[in-house]
Amino acid sequence: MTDATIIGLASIGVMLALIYAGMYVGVALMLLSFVGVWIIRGDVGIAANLLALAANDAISDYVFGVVPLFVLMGLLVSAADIGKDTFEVAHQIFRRVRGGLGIATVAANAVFAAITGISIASAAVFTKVAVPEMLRYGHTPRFAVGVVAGSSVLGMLIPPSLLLILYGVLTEKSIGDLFIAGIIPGIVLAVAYCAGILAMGRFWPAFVGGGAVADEARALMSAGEMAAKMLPVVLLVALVLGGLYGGVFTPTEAGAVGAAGALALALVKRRLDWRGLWKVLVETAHITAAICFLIISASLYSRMLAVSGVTELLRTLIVDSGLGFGGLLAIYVAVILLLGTILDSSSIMLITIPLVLPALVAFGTDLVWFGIVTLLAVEIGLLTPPFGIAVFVIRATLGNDSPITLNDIFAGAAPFAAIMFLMLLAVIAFPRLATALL
Amino acid sequence: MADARSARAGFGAVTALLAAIGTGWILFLMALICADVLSRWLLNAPILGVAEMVQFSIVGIVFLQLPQTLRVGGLTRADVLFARIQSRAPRVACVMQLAYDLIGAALFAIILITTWPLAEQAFANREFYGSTGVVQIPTGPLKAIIILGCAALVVQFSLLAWRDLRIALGCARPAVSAVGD
Repeated sequence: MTDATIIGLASIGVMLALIYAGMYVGVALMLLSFVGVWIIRGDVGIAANLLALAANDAISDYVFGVVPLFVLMGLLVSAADIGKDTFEVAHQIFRRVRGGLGIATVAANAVFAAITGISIASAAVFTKVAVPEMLRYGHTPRFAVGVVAGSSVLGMLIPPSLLLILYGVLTEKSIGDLFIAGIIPGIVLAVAYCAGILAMGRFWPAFVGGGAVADEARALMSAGEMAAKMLPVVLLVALVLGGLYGGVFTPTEAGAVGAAGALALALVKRRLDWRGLWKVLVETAHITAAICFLIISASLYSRMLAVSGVTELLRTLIVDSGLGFGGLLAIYVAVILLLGTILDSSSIMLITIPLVLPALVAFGTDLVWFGIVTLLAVEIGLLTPPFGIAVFVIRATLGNDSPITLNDIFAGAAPFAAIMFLMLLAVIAFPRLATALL
Repeated sequence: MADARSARAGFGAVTALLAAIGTGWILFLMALICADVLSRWLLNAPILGVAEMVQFSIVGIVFLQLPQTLRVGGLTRADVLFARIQSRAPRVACVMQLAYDLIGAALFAIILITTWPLAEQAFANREFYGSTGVVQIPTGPLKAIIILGCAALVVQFSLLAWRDLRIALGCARPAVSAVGD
């Protein structure tokens, strides 16, 4: 091991420690990369130039236009109550099934996921729409919030997906391909959730609850009304995904057209005034700035890793260790699950992927499939304590009046996290799940 | 010390203004790309330079927005352990936060100083995105936006650091929220 690689490895260690100690993730990545390059090259000028280069050039690419546009689209469809409409329709379709409300939530989330790319949007929307309804029908609070937490993950898995965009940027893979690869695992996971809900309703009724006969005063919608409620969603999905796969749009264009479509819908339905629109735009800008700051710092970090020779060292270590690809995969998933207890999804991907990428290339790994594996592993972290962002969003959305605690939500989400883990194993065992449509 | 507080509040107007420009820019970007798609589709006449505009815009949007995102506590961090330290040893947490904010200020000051000559160069050589004769979008103004954003970030990090310092020294009471004013 050379001095440079020792410095590189040490800076990864210090960086993780600082992040755990609460330093801004982007600042920590920048600081350690800057200091690392400075020590290795013995020249502060080179380090400063790398820093400025990352700030000026890392996100200066057409591809990054997708970030604000898909975030905007996701927040607009949330503001337009499209999630509520979808849930009402699903509710009616599954009303006769035992645990049907849970299934309706999963189904509505799966459909909603096809027009939004951020899990936190799904979690917030369905906490407002589905949780009160499930409680009214006598489901336990834990089950109600657990279903919402678990199914919000579909938002990232079913395209469009902000995390898959990020992964595509990090690995230089086609975002369109990654989106397609997420479709089957997303649908299978939704079906697995439904099967899990049915099974829990049968074998663990104390957890699920329900069965309270709600007043049937609620008028049933006619087929026409249901169609009218679903039409906007179908149109948006057709516009965005159809345009993307039909080769009519680039991902950036699909994001812009989708956002414009969602905006038009919200305005036509009179569910968004100017003040509301501005609020949505401000939030979009915050999320965009935070994500892009991470991307800038991550590009600096991967350059530091390359300069120090750590990536090369890791590649030889992993390939020569006799660990094999299976061993690497097992360690990788374990590390991600571990990081997922503290860090948010995008930070985990930015830190780990540059480290394993060279070794993956050496093994000839299908990086699109690997992206889905990464996504599933990372998203389990959304549901695990002490830091599960989906769980926090649900708690915040419930408001201070609700007696449901963070612990309740983590406990309720646990069965769904377990189902996700099985899904992760399934995608590893059967890569065709991800690659079949490509 | 009311001056520092009013300085923070006053600077909040600056970051809010920058952020508002960045925010409006997103809507403009959306409209621009849609216009390109429509024009290409209906009139078979794509608008030239949209790809370069996107490239330009995303950097501009981010640097205009970052100071405000920092100010309202929107930058990504893992605060589970930090929150525990905060409740058990608030002063220690405050000193840590002071270090984080000072480091942030220093890093963006370095970016600012290193980008300055790049900006001079870009203006002097009339550098541009795009290809000669088709579309040329000058990079100079973008460098200027980056420098502006970095300067605002340095000031905002410093204001936060000043607040941390005063709390750590016991001159001020910890703010209830993490928001910078």
